[in-house]
Amino acid sequence: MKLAGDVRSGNIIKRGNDLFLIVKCEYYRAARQNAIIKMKLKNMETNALSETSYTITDKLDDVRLDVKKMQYLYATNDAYSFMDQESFDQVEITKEDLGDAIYFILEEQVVDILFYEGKAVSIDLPKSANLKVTYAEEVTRGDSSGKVLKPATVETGLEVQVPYFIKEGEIIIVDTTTKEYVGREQK
Amino acid sequence: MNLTNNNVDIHCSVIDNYGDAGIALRLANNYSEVFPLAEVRVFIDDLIVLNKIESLINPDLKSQIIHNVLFVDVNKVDMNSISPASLVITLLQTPLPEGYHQKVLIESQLIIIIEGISAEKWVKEIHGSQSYSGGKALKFFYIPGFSADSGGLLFGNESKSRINDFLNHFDLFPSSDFLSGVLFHYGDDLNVMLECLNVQKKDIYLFVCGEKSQNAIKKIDLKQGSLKLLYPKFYNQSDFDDLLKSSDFNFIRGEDSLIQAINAQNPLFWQIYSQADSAHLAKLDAFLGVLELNFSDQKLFNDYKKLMFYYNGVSKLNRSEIEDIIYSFMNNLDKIRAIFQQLRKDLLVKGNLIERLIKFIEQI
Repeated sequence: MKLAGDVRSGNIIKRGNDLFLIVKCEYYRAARQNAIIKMKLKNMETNALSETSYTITDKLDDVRLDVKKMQYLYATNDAYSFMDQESFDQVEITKEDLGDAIYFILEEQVVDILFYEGKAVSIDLPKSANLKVTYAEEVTRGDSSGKVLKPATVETGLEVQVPYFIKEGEIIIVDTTTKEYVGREQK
Repeated sequence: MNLTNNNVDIHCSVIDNYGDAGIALRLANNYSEVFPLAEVRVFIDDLIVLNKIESLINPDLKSQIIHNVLFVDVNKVDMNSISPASLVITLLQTPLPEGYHQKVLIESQLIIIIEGISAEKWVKEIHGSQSYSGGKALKFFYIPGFSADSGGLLFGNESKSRINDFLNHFDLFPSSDFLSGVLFHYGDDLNVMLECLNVQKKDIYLFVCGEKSQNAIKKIDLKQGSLKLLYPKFYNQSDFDDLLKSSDFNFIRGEDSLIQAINAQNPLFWQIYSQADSAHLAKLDAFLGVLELNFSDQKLFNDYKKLMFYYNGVSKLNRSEIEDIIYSFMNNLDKIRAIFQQLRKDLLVKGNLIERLIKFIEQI
């Protein structure tokens, strides 16, 4: 069992007898300290896509799959290629199956690839990823709008709300579950 | 969805004092008015708080029926032995007791999670979205809000304007040329704002409500001026609704008070419930976005927004800025009142929460 707040894109969950790949997780801050997560799920048997929302404290049946360390080589329009570092075998995972995980992997990075019945299906992401800011809005001095966050784009194309002091070129730590800013990489 | 009957179980865990219990009480009463023959049950963990806002509640009892609603103290009954209603509502993600929850999955038809209100854009993404219950019962999120694609607002019944009643309790019988207001605020940072209210042309009777507010305000040393601070006993829900309606302006906090202050159609300032990571600021900003649509005077709105941020501790203002804004606010009370009258009118056209909830269930 895993709390819904602890799963992320690429994880597999079980509902009844069906296995579902989590393609996308969107976090919404509800009242109090609780969040609601809207997940886009892919049925592993039928490939049908569906959406479901959970509270972060909902308990989900997570599924343990075979894991292999592989290096991310390159991406085409539809798929991402990974190479086994020992056998040099290559596998592809479709962009659709990777979902939001594509925002957290960089070329040449070694990642954990999940296999279901011998087929590579997704990535087991770490809790956070360090990503370079490629665009961040400038904050005007004396801005009294009350806003404490501003949008920034990182090298993988993900848009993240960051504190006003973050500048282009900095490496930030992003939570791979919530896609939220966690902190700045310390030099 | 056709429910086998209209019986409902409403679950509430009291965390932020009166607001949580207030929403449960209001929802139960509204639901019971629509379905007078239905068994409406409220399962709550703090009858002492509930007693404050509904004085007929006896906090020593395990269960009791007040105005056709059964209130159950979850700390005093064996929840595992209770058969759930066909419709189960949890407020603000109140967890269901485990044994009872297992029965809900099999015996109930529908679980609705009613969340806190928000004017944020994400509401339309989540409101009405289905969750996975793990059992036979279907489960949905219901998000109260301001837009047509939200769950609406839980307005109380029509409240009464009776300021003289409230003042007479303090042996005050003022002439007609005065103003009155409500202050319900957590924090001790309102010195300058109160000093500005203390130098107005008209006398202002300010009802400082709630123990925390009263303790904080009593520490402020105000010179004799236009502001008369009143420290009433705790008002029950119905009286507090009437006080909001009776006052010329309301400084309030929490969700239920915000909704009833909008229902009262008087100028208001809202202290929002503070969340981790400043998530509440986005909610405050979104609420201001709703109001901005109703303000035709941009300067007045900008001042209003500045004071709202200041009231929430988001931004700092110097004394002269606060003086200017309070001056502007006090001189535009009628104009701002008209904005809130229009807002309420627009919201009621879209439907009260209870009407929209019933329609939502029918459409599942």
